[in-house]
Amino acid sequence: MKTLAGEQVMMRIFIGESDQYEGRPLYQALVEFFRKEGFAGATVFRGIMGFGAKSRIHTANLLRLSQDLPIVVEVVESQQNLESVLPTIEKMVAEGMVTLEKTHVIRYGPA
Amino acid sequence: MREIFLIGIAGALGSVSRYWVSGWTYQVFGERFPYGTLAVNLLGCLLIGFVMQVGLNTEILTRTARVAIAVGFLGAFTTLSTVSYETLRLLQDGIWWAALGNMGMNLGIGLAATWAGFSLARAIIGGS
Repeated sequence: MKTLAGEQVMMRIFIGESDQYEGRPLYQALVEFFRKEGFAGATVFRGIMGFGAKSRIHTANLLRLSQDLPIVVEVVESQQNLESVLPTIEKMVAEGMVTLEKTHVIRYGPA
Repeated sequence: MREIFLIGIAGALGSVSRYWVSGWTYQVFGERFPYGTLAVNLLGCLLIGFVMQVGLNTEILTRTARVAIAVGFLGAFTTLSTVSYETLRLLQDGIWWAALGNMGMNLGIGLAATWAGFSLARAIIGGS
């Protein structure tokens, strides 16, 4: 089983619910890609409200504006592993934001 | 059969119209309150009062046209389910005054709008 401990890097990918990659939801494609790369894990969160580069508000509170809610994909890995997949991520994420930040893993895996 | 088909076509136009009108309303008035849903409901209420007064008291609209517009187009243009959903979201967020206002305006001003549409039509074409 893969281990993850100590100083790592968190990648956050901010995209939209309706973003697609090769005929499937982009967030699904990203999670499947990270899994294929043998990463320790990935988590997808749906935001209830947000706006992006086009400054258009998306919110779950108003039905008309809820059709493309924000999605955040988080993955924690070594800097080296994340840097190796960045070119592919940049190709997959046509619209959105990708951030990297240092993080400290104090626990990973089952008891 | 033809009538159901026309109701379906009118319904499709009504729902797409709702999409555009509510979207435009949010662009103009912002997103802090369900203005878009309120706009389509009030406009729909105004129109149904007008259309039904014209349709039931004149020969301007055929029975089929009246049904297609009132049941098809306006039925899809307006929405109670969205009012219900957005009111619930306001309540869940603790903005109870906005939730009450939302329900109240959609129902109360909606009723007034229907009466206004009906009265306007009666002023123009007469009828009972």
